[in-house]
Amino acid sequence: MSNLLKKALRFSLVPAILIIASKVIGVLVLNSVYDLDISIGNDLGQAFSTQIYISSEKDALLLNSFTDAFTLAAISIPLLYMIIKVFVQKQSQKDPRTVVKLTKANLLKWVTKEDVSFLKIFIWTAFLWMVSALIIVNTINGNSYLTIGVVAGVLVLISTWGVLRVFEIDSNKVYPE
Amino acid sequence: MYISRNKRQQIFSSVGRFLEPFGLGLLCLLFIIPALTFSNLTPLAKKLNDNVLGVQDETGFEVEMVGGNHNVFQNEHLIKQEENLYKYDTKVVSHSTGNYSKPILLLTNLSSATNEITFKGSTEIPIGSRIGLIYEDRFYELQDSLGEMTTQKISVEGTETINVFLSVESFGDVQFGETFFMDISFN
Repeated sequence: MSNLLKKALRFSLVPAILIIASKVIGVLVLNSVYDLDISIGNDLGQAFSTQIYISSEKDALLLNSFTDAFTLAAISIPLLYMIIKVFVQKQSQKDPRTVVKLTKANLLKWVTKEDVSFLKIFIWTAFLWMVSALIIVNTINGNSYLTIGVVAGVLVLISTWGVLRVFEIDSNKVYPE
Repeated sequence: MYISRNKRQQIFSSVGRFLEPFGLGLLCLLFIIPALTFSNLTPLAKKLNDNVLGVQDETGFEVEMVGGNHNVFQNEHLIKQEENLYKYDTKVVSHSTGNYSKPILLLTNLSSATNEITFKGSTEIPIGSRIGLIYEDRFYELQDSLGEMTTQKISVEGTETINVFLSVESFGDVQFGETFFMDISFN
């Protein structure tokens, strides 16, 4: 197996688990906080033979919106952190004042430890695209608040721009300007 | 049995090549499984079935007329034509410019699931007024001022009872009375 595939598999595990965990935890937490009338049922008319059902449309909207927001945050926050880290690393190589600022803020590890690669960011972005697409579909179907759909769309644009910039930075290492 | 280092590397390399498509499949699964889980964990709104085993859920709607007196809507009738079709009529008497409304029907969804009820109505001759139904502060137009008819549907949650108002919006004085007929149907 190629090294690229091995790395891709290793990097994909965390976001995949995070998506499932955040959705499950979101449902469980909201169910216990709001004491929702939830049941698991079988219905042949639906896409899945086993599905979670909730007694009122209002509760379904609330639960879907919050769990969508949890999942979106679980994927987008680490991704944005990684993108910012790459930008700061790049900036610190150009401008020593950035290193001084980082030292003052006790964040020097950000530039000394290079643990973020383009592949990692790309995989996390792909997961964000996937989650955002599902959230936007939920919003269009009226199963999630419009704000969450809009935020997902904006995050997709920001992360796409970020991943392109990271690609530019990485390719500059191979072919310097 | 002795296996040379070269031979061992060759074996590892061919095993690696054999595993490559499985690795790609696994990578695809790592994207597909969270997507399916995410969709599956999105709860659907559905009235939970509280029925005891063997007891059948009722279907359809119970339609009741509110009745009472009104200055503009008079002489109301509600007739059950078929199991899922009711006919309602009322006389819209002469009146001056303005909006008039009156609660006319109480509709109870007998099933535990959300169902739609359809309304279609008009006067025989257009009276130059907009006639429609009001439910939850929304106007469902059945006939416009030119007499064009529109079929309207209202969604009612399981076991819920709703109150529907008949409304007439007149832009000028209406000098003559006219009977308004309405069909109420459901599945």
